[in-house]
Amino acid sequence: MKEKIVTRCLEGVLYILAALGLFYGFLVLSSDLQDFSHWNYIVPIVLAYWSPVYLLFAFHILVKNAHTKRAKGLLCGNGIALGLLGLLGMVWVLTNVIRNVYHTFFQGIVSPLFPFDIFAIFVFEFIFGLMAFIESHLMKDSLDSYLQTPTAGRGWRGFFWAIFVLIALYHFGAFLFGLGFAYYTSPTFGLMMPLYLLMLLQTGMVLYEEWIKKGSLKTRRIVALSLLGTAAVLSSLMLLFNLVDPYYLVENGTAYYPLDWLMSLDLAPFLACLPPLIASLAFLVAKDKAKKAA
Amino acid sequence: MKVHRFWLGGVLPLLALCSCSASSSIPLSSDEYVKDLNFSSDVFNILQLTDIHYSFATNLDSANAYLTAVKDQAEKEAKKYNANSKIDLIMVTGDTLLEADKAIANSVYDLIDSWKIPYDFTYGNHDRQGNWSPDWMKNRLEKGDYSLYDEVDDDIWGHSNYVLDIKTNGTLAWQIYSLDSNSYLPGAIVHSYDYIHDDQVQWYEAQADVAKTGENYVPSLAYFHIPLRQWVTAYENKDEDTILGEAHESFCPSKHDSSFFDAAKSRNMKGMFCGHDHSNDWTCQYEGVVLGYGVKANRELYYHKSDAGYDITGGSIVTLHKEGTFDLTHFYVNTDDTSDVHEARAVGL
Repeated sequence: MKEKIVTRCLEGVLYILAALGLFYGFLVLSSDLQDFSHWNYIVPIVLAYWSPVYLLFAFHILVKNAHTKRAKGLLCGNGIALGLLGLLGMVWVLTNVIRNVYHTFFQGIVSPLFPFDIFAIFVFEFIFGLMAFIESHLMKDSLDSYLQTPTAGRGWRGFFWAIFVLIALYHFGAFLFGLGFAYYTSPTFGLMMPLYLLMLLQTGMVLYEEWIKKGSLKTRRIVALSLLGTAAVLSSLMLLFNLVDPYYLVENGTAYYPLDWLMSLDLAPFLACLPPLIASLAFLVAKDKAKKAA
Repeated sequence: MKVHRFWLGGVLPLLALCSCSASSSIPLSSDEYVKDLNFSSDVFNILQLTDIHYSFATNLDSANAYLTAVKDQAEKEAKKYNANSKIDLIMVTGDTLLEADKAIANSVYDLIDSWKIPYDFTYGNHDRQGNWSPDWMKNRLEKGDYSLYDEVDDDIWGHSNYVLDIKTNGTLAWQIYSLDSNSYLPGAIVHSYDYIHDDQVQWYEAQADVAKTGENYVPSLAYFHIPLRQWVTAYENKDEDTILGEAHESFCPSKHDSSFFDAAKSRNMKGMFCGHDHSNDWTCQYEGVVLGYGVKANRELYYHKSDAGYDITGGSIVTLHKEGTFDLTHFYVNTDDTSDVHEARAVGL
């Protein structure tokens, strides 16, 4: 029980960091999306800010496989990947500082401690990766047993779930950052409520699927239907509000969806509405299958 | 603020709980929109800086150095044609920022403020994209010691709608209008750029009508970010109408035609200047009104080389004369060597 609490606390912290990192990394990346002419400046920042996302997924998979023969191999592989990422990042940042691409270790733009903060992230990754690699070699099971163990993943469902989690992370990060940059005095600020709730709902669905889902088939089905209903109502409200005032997203939402405004696309309503609708439908279908199997 | 949108949204129960601001109704002709400036010599020089585009990727030291070189060159250009003159006003016509943070935004605003020249802003379509709230942006624009920006809390579309009255010996000689060309026109899947809305045009008409002496409208110029559709129409007749400059990319106005041009043309507007399309600084005379792109004022994002091989980056200067004509100078400052400068000029417009 204690291990479970510690694990979930760590996962929770990683989720929040991954959400913040994914959104902010995307903001930084989008400043150079037009021609990637500053890739040498931008890529280390994005790698550093997005690395909690990798850590979250790796940690989650490790936890799920903690007491299986796959644990050793997963720890070893992720340790190597993390260590190499950290090493690459450290060298890249140092080179950029030496070559005056980053003027000092504390430029104070991008973040108050930039680029020291991303250097520290890479150092942490290198050390953590090295520790994971060493730890994997102290484990009893051999690497051969990992390599001979057939994969027991979620297949296509797992792939699409990972995509959904990424979208949920992005929206959660946007929501958290949005607390700072929301247009509170806008006359149409109220119209943003369904979008904000959809942003949170997606994280709620991740939380439910990964941490809470239990109980009878009937209970699960009720929850899935409730999620679907909530997503449908909020999506309908977004659509309705769009009819009431088509400008409300332009007025209030430009900072949340940089790609939309850079590429003159209108993806935001689809990104906010479709994933929770599809995911909750998938929850329902999964229950039906489980019922048939039962 | 937009009263009609507020109340329209307010009929929905959720909005009743969530909408948090009321708006004030101000007469279109209110002098709250107006600030006075004076001729300091025989002429009044306006430097237009546009599409500066500071972002997370910007090297602030070199970008600031380049922008300062542009300002220095503008001062030289002003003195070249009138030894007693100076840059009297800087109009920053949008897209100063694109995906940046407050520190980067402060850097460019502090730099412009440090030049100790009165300046004003119009919003571009990208200025609100970044890690700041629109309220922070508004307060920041208003904060500079030399900033003339003062956003009126009104019911009119856009945020940077205001007038600068240019006077000589207490007499109104010119009016400079700033209009917010807004950002995006919502659409399914793909956005178009927005336009100057009808209520902004009505506001302009009210301001111009109040300022006129007898039956005569005061000569005026307008600055905004996104070109009107008239730029495209004019370009189709470019052989006859070109004044100066080049066009190296497609014009990107709104797909919606604004009524602003017709209203302005009939009210003695002498010229309109925009930004938005970085590779264009083409300027023409169309139906008696000068329609001009500014010169992109920095290296960020994309820019283009002229047919003669120099970078189309730098600034443009409008020199107002008291009798109601103006001169236009585009100057180009090489991005790699700021001492390499080129110029195009038209007088008596």
